[in-house]
Order: sequence, then C-alpha cells, then structure tokens
Amino acid sequence: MLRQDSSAGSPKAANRLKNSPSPLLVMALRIGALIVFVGSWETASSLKWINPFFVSRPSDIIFRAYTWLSSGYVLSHTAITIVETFFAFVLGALLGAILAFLLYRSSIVDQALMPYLMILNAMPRIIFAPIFILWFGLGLTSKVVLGISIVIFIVFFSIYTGLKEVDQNLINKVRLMGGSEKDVLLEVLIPSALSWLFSSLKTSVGFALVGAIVGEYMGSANGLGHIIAFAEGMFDATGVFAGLFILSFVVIAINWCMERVENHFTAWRMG
Amino acid sequence: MRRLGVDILPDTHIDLEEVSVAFASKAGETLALENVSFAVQEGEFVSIVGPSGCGKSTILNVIAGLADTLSGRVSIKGKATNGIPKDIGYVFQSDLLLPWRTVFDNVALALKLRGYRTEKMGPAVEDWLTRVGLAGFRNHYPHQLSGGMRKRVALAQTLVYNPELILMDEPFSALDVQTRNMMENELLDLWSGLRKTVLFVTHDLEEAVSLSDRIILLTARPGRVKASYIIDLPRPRNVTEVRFNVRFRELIEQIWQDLKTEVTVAYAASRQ
Ligand SMILES: Nc1ncnc2c1ncn2[C@@H]1O[C@H](COP(=O)(O)OP(=O)(O)OP(=O)(O)O)[C@@H](O)[C@H]1O
Ligand SMILES: [Mg+2]
Repeated sequence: MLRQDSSAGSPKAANRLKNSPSPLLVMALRIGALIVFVGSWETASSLKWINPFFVSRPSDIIFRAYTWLSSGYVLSHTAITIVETFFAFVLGALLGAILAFLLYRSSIVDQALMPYLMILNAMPRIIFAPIFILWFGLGLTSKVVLGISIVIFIVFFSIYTGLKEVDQNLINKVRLMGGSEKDVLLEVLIPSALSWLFSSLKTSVGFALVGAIVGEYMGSANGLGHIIAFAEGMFDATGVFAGLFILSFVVIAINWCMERVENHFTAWRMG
Repeated sequence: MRRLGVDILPDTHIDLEEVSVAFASKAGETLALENVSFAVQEGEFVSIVGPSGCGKSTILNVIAGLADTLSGRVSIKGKATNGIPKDIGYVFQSDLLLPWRTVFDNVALALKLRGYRTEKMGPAVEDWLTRVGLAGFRNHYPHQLSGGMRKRVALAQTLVYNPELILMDEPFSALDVQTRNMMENELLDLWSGLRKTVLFVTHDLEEAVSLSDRIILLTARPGRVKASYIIDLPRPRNVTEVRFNVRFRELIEQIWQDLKTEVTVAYAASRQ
C-alpha cells in the first residue's frame, strides 16, 4: 500500500489571485466613473452646452424608461427580443454543432464544404437582414434566421477546432478499454464539443441578440430594436437612449445567466 | 499450430515477426522499426530499453493496433492482430485523462465502458485509488493534480479492469523515487499474483533489470533488436533490495555496455 496523500484540501480554496485590488475599491471607482459621466452629461445638457434635442438628458432618459416599464409598454417588446435571441442561439448552436461533427467525421465533406463556409463566414451577415425580412416577413422568423446565420458560424468554428484538437490517443484509450464508437462519441467527442461550445457561449448568445435587434430595427412591429427605430423616426433622442438603456440591462442579465451556465458546466476547468 | 515448420509454444502471448514500421515525413519516409522480431510468453514480464526515439513506443502502438506496419506480422495468442486486440491495457507515455471527469470517474471509466453498474464497480475503484495513494482525491479533476498524481490515476485506470496483457510506456518516469519504488513493488505483486503478461518500456536500465524476466535492447533508429537478456534474479523481488544483489550489478554492467553504444549513436544522429 502506498502512503495516503493527506493534504487533499478543497479544490477551490487554493489559487486565489494575490495582488488583485480590493473589490470595494474597484466598486467605488466604477460608481465614481459612472457618476462623473452621467453628471457631466446631465449638466452639459441642462445648461445647453450641448443640444438636448440630439443628446437628451440622463434624467429624461431614466424617467422615460421608468414610464415605459411601469406602463408595461416595453415588457412585451423585451420578451419578444429575448424569445428571438433564444431561438436564434439554440437553433444556430444546434446546426453549428451538427455541421462541425459532420465535417470532423468525413474529410471529403470537410474538404468540399470548407471554402464555402469560410466565404459565408467572411460576409457581414447584417447586410442580409433586408433579404431575410423580404423572405421571411416582418415577424419573428426573419430575426431568428438572421441570428442563426451569425451564431451557426461561431459555434461551428469553435467546435470544429475543438474536435480537431482532441488527442487521438485519448480516443484510442477509450477504444482500448473496450469502448465502442458510440462510447468515443459520448465520453470524448461530445464533452470536448460542449466545452468549446461553452467557451464561446457569451459571444454566440451576444450575437444572437445582435441579430434580433438589427432585424427588429430594420423591419418589425415588435421588439426592442423596433422601439429604438420607432423613436428614431420621431426624432426622439430620449426614446432612443431609453431603448438602449433597457437593452443594456437585457444584455447584462443575459451575460449573467450565461456565466452561471458556463460555470456550472465547466466546473472541471476551474481552479 | 505450425508455422515455418516450427512448433509455436502454446503459451506465446505476443509474437512479432520481422516487423518494420515507417512514418511519412516531409523528407520522405522515416523508418522507425526495422525487422523487429521477438516473442513474449504468457505471464512473462519483458522490458524494452533503447535510446530515445528508437521506436519503443512504436512497438507498443503496433501491438495495440494503433500503428500500421510496413511489413511483418504481429500476432497475439497465435492470431494475427487486426485492429485493437481484446483484453488489453495500455498505460500511455502521457497520462491522457478525461479532463471533465473526476479522479474516481476516470478510474471507473473502463469498468463503465464494460457495462458495470456503479454499485458493483465502487469497491474495485476505491481499492485502486487507495493503492495509488489518491483516495483523498477522488473528487478532484485532473487539472488539480500534479503530473505524478495524474500518472498514478492513469495507472489505476488501466490496472483496475484487470486486462491479461498490459503494455506500459514509461509509466513511472514522472514519479519521485519513493513513490516510484512503491508503485514498482505494487506492480510486481499484482503481476506475480495474477500472472499477467507485461510489456514494459523504460529508459531506466535499473528499473528494467529490477522488474523484468527478460530485457530486449533496441538499436538507435531505425530500431532493431540488438540483444535480449535473461534476468535470472530470484523472485519474489523487492525493487529496492534487489539492487544490493551482486548479480544485479553484473547484469547492469553487461547491458549498459551495449546500450551505451546505441545511446552514443542516437545522440550523434540527433546532433546532425
Ligand atoms: N506519428 C508519428 N509520425 C511521424 N513520426 C513518428 C510518429 N511516431 C513516432 N515517429 C518517429 O518514429 C521514431 C520512433 O518513435 P517512438 O515514439 O517509438 O520512440 P521512443 O523510443 O518511444 O522514444 P522516447 O524514448 O523518446 O519515448 C521517432 O524517430 C519518431 O520521430
Ligand atoms: Mg516513447
């Protein structure tokens, strides 16, 4: 019998960063910066140093956002944007993952399709927005398709590279232990693919949201993008900023959720 | 069984005949192994030694069905191999753990693949975790372990499912001397108890002599069998105590003379 290593310790306790500044100081600086920025904007605008017609005023913006929220006007629009983002992400990730496995498994398909995928990925997808609206109408579908067209490539390339980097001997080891091809898929390939998917999660969800917003902005009767476009059409700077203000909260909320999901599924990577 | 007019002993476990292996590289083909022939009997403990890059790992890969031969024949229990053989264990040179699985789940992997239920495999896994000194680390992930600890997990991972043929590629090279000696004794106990066939690769001559029944010495690349030595030290052995045996030093002396030449050749070749 070997001696027992007794210094097990909790896996997370070690490895704290040493000379990182205190969280309180960081928080104080952040709030300070915000106060300075919002304060000078408010002052400059109130004293007419800058024209409030074009840049509005923080107090007006917050009041507008509050009115929209309390009347419920903005809630259904936000819900629609989130639904579009959700579908664009889920479907885009699914299709991207399937495509990645397909190209990983068959080198013929890989060699045949890769140039086209590269070209498509190089195109700015935003310019397709009007085409998608033309094809799929003003409703939810065109926004979801626009989001998918971005997400699919992010997920495809990250999973594809991840699969290519899997150590061939790790696969061999599972086979030597008596594992079937299905075991290789379940024990090695899918977990690696998932870990790469999670590492691109925030980027891809972010772009799903961009797809939804841009689609709504260019042609829709619903969603946060529509609210912003509508306010813009009325030369209502306060409305535009209020829309952006609410949008930024949506982004923060989504990011927070994604971080949770990512931490939960990649516990094995954290120190 | 008759082949070339010679009776093969019924208990030949691995048989390599004139095996050559080449790898494609930019400058054409590199010959890694050239006409390598040797046999390993069932229950025998054989070590392969030779200079770095001479093809030791390649021999194990050929037997495990992971590398293609250019020519020659590899058979296991009298049957020519075709792909990955059944009931084989391979401790790779690098540890190759599943990073997303805990130490426990990594050790349990082979049993899980063989369809054991968690309740049934629990005791075997726990037993091996204790033997390699990692019982307190069962819920850690591989990245939280040191190199030597990962190596021990890889070892437990293979030995836990009790394969009848075990290939080991420098399994103890990352361990400190004490742990290493304990693991070596552990391996000898296991081997003498269960009479597994072990083909062991190492660059450490003393390790090879203290563990093996026989040592096969390879030449610098392309690897050929230069010589084979019977290690007639008494068993059961303790790897630390056997080193005080006079015969141990004699064997080391004898093999080292031959190995030195090859190491010099390999070193000169690597400097070009
Ligand atoms: N997959 C590969 N592709 C190309 N060349 C390879 C490959 N694997 C091994 N080789 C070459 O074959 C030769 C033998 O390699 P091998 O890994 O078997 O050596 P080794 O004896 O195990 O060395 P070490 O003691 O350093 O582990 C080396 O020269 C190496 O460059
Ligand atoms: Mg090697």
